[in-house]
Amino acid sequence: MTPTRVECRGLTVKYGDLVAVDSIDLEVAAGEVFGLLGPNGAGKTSVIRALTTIIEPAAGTANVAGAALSDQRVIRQRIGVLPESSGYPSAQTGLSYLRFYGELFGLSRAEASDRAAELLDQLGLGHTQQRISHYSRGMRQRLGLCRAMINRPDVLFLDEPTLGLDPAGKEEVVRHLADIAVHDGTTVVLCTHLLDEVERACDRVAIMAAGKLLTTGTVDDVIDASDVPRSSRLRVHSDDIAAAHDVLGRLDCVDGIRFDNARPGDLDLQLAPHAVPPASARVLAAIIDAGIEIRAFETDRASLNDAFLALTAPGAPT
Amino acid sequence: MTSTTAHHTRPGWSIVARQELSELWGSTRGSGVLLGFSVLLAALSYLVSADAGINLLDARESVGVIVQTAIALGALTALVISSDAISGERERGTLESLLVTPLHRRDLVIGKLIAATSMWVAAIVVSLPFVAVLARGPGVAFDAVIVLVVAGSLVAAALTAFGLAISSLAMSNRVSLASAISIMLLLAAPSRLPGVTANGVLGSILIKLNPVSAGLKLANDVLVGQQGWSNHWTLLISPAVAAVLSTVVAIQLSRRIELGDSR
Amino acid sequence: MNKLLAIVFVTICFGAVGSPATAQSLDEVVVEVTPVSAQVALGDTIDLDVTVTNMSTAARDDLIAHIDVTSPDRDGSVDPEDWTATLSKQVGPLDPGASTTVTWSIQPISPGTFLVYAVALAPDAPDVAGSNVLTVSVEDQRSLNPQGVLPVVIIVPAAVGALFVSRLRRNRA
Repeated sequence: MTPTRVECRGLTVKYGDLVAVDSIDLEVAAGEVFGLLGPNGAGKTSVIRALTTIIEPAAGTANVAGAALSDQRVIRQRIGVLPESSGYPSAQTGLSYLRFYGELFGLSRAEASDRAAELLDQLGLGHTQQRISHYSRGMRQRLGLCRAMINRPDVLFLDEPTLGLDPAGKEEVVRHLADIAVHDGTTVVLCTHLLDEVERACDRVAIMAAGKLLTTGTVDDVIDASDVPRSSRLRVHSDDIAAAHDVLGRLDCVDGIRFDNARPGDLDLQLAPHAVPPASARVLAAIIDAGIEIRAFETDRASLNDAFLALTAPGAPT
Repeated sequence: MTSTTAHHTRPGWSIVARQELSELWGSTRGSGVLLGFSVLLAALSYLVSADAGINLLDARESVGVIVQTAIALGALTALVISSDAISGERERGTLESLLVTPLHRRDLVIGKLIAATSMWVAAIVVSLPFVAVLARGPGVAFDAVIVLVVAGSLVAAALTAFGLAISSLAMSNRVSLASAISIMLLLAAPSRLPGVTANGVLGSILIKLNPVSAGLKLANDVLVGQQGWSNHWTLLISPAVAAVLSTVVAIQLSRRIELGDSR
Repeated sequence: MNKLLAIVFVTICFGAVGSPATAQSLDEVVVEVTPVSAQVALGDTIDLDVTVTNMSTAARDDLIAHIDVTSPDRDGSVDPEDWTATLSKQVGPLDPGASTTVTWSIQPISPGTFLVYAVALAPDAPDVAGSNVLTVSVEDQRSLNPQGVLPVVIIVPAAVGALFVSRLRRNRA
């Protein structure tokens, strides 16, 4: 059984009277890339800060990298953190900056230098002797990632690591995360509101809104839990389009049908997500039974973005 | 994956001190502040020693003015650095990264205190040539250097630690710096009291209790007033007590260092 | 005749015994200052000799010599304590006809023309004995290197400035 690297029960964070995190339960297994999603103000950063011992929770318990939250120094020794708005000293080089952090984690100066050089090479910064003031935004984010990994952490907490990066930069960071988890076995807790990178990188996700945890699971689990309709496209002969429309209109698993004016033989369908048997199968069966020739049939899986919007919409059931 | 074990080859404060010293003196920050200090001191030294169309100051008085200015301005430079120590990290967004390391917050403060104190040491080094030249004539070089180093260091230590304490609590650099400088000016004000008030019972007590005015008065009495150390060593008590107290307070306040922005 | 002599004798005796003790006037004390003129630069010191001579027939040991400075050019007064710390000095015992010289080292603190003089006084004397005047002309000496401070004033900020520039260049590299 895969050990749990991060676990919290009833975690609550308050700022005065404001409840930023309302009694959430989480578990992240070792080696997992776990996405913590939510709109702005959902409480994601507060969860990260509580788990990384920056702030004290008002209630609840947590265990991070095998240590209870009360063992702050032990936790800090075992984790790496890339905060959302991380600043960097502009007058230093990347190497001296990382070496400093290496020493803070107990490495000797020589060990810290070696580890810093290794990380800089790994993340494509090894070529530069420049001061950090000359780094681009993407370079700084990668430097932050190096710093977060300087102590070979058991758990890596990343708060919006791709913020402000261009698409290529985002792609690079996501790729590094996958490498870290796969090759180094590091558990990654990724806090973000960019869903496409979550879909690509995360094994499991949790969605938060207004301090509460809405759902947890794999991406597919979350999409299923959201009851977001699936979209499909059916192509028949343009002469059969009306008949196909009639047949499909009688199916309860079809939530919506739309003609595609640009393509006379195409119908866009909205299918109910949890139909049994699956809606797509019933659509095909009904068309075949009606003797209508099927020229093409595509089903799109609902996106995480759709699920996220459905779950976090105002008035959505929690 | 096993994380690095904390077997600190060096104490945390030493690592922080080294880094801070490197940042302070490797960048233009430290040398910039020191340049301002040296230019001011040079201008004042020239004015007090030259005949600028006003009455020629007694040579001993010149030395007294320069030593007092070196103490006040030198301590101010250290205060400027220390009042940026924690609030500056907060503003630059570098504090959180430090707080998630195994570094004791106490060690963070001690390391920064050491770095800020280096500013005072540099101020002494810059002041010594001026004091030596001006004190040559009246033959008070030894007294002047002792006053500068002993009284000045105690005053500077008190103010540096005080600035760091303010910086730990203030949420912005502007607030930290403004508060620290305002309080320093308030502390220096009694030394500017007119003679009658300063020599009165209450004025005298006020000056002795106040570490900044006590240090400045000592410089004045020993160097300008030509009064011996034996009569005025008690003026060192309040700077010494203030230095110890403010250092202890600054270190204790390290436990209350917070990020400052609530989410 | 004998009666007249007796009256004169008694009158003299009563006069000697009955008249009140007279404070010794200083009109037979002569005070002289040397030099009588001096031309100096600001910051120079002048050695001032004040010679007090007891021209009376009685010895004195109560004399005090006191110097003062004034300026004919200025409104307001010159503070003589700026020129020298001690303005008054004991002359010491002075036999009839004897002289003694008391010296001062005075340092003018501002440019211009000044008059220095001395007086001799005594605690119970009704008057003072004044001296001649020493006229002092003090040149306004604008030295570019007062007290030798100029090299330090230039070198120290220059050295710190060089450090600053080196850091600036290094950080831009």
